[in-house]
Amino acid sequence: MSRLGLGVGVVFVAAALAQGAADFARARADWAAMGPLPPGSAAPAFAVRTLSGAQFEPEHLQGKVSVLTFWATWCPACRSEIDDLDELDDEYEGRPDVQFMAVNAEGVPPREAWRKAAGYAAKEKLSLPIAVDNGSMSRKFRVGPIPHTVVLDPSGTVRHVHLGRVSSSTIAEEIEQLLQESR
Amino acid sequence: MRRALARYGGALVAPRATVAASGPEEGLRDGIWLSLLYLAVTSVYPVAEGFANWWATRNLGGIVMILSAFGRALIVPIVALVAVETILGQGRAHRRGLALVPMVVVVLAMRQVPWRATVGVPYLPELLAMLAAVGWTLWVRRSIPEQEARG
Repeated sequence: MSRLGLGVGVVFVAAALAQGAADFARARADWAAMGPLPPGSAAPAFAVRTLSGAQFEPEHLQGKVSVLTFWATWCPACRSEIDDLDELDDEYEGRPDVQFMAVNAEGVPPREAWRKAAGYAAKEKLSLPIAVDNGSMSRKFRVGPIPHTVVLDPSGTVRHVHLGRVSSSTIAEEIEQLLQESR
Repeated sequence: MRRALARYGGALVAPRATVAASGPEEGLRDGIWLSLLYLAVTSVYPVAEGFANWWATRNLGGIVMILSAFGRALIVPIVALVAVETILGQGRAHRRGLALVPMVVVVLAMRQVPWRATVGVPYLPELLAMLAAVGWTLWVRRSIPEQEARG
């Protein structure tokens, strides 16, 4: 084994470990802003328009348990979850203390996103309220992979976050727990 | 440790001589150590993001995110090791781990240049790293002393 080989080996391993250490330091510095908006956070400022033309903003979260799910028509797990939430929304129909909002995060220009979301809602005969996001609301809730579902309490505080497909029974349990707390 | 470092350096400065001089029982865990170095170079931040996802959700979805981060990180060295082992054949496969040295060098170099801004090819570092491992293996293959296949 040559001295040159040993020297190059030391530099090689040291450089790799230094890169890992630098990334670790960066991750530590970014930790608070990594991942989704965690439970305990207040809902950030946002404004999206629903398919029915209404504006949906943080003030609409007040006094209600809110279930926000970020989805897209190209995402099979999202479509499956949306179908479930549509049924759950029907179960809570007429309840002023619970609301659902499916926030479309299609990742395409707004007009196209609108057309796709509306087309899907019509095809599936969804009664679930749907809003179309231009990316700004998703960024504020720090949405990564979808479906991404957030359950907020009546004060507009994030209480539960789900990454990936979540069952409607889990959401129903969380809604009931938050309703009990607020009574 | 010293011999491992010399072997890793030798794999870069004198690959054929290094593999020819390495004893049959030497460096059998190179694949594991070099895979960990590969993770250190490429995946500390994504794995931290996986943990951040779990920290926020504290549920099965969060655990899946961590596993997914590790899976995405490990898939490249695993595929590379399988490709290298196929090229080397059973008699020379004991030296497969050393092929990860050029891989780590390529991903380390790609971390230092802003390739994303100029090249529109996704996974370019991973592709180049795999090519480096395969190219290195083809280059040194005949210099690796063949071993009897173990029963």
